[in-house]
Amino acid sequence: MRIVQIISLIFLLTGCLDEQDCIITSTNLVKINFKIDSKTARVISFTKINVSGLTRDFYSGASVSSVELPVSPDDNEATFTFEFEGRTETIRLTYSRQSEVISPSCGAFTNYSDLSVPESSFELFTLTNRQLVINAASNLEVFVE
Amino acid sequence: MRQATLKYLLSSVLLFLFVSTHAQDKKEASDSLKRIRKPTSVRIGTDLIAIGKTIFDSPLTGWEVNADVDFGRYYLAVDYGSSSLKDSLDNGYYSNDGRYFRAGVDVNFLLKDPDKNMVFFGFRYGRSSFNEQLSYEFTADEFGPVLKELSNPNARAGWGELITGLRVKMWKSIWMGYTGRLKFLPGVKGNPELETYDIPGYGRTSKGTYWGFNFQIFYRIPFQREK
Repeated sequence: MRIVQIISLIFLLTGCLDEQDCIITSTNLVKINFKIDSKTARVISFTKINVSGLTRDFYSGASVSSVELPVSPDDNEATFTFEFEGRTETIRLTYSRQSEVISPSCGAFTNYSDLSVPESSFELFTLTNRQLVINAASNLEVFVE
Repeated sequence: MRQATLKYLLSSVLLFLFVSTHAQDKKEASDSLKRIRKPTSVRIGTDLIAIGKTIFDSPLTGWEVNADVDFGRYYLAVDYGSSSLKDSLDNGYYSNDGRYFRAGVDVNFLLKDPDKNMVFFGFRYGRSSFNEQLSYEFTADEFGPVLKELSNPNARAGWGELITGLRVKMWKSIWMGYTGRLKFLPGVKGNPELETYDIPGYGRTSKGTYWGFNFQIFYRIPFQREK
């Protein structure tokens, strides 16, 4: 009869589980931090940054140590072209998209994950978070002299 | 809120059943029905909740046929059904349609009941083949409004269930009862760009475990003429 007790307990406890929350943390923004070394941020004065699939330039004339750049919700790759200090560097990213329904009242959203860097003209970089989420500390750290 | 209330109601009924079956257990321990015996009948039934949802225009429609064969206190049980969900979302529309089956064994804890009433626990393995479609709109940073239309035309899924319930003889060959299902470990093979929202026969995949409930009516067909 021990098995009956255990099964009953499982049924009773799972009856108390909460409903799913309506919180979406996914974003199509990639956060890139520029660094001199693992502890020191590198402030860069950008001439401009170009994002594949978009005509407008980003961070024109801005001096920053981190940027947030969008990736296309209709593609699985993006190329960022950075123009700064007389240099032009590019990073090509690939990622997976997955559409997910939370509930009828919360709706559906796109989840971006499996971020990777198949090509980069920057010699040193580290992928820190392969999932694109709101308020991420960073997805990619790029080391610039 | 209504779903949560149903869960607590079901939990309370299960608690009552647990106490009842526990009280009977000791005095019936030596009953001969504990052995596996030659089957005497098949019970064929259907889920009245599924039919009710279909009639009353719920987003979830379908039907389910249930059957079990007795081997003493053990029952070989199979379920076959069809389910279709059409649900408006806050920012779009989701639909699916598919067939499913479950197979497993029930163990009856009412050992000496001449009417073959049952208080049972059991398990099932379920399989489903289905298609699903999702269309929704959202706004992506810098890319503006986006309309997504995705489909999963040949999806397949499998899962496990722990079940419990009652079968009570109502009149001659008619039995009624309910089955509570604790469904777990859903696995889906299909389009990786669309995470399956609802598996026909299982339900929502977003939780690790999911509840199911059937209210059933059965007709019993004996294999030999009974006195």
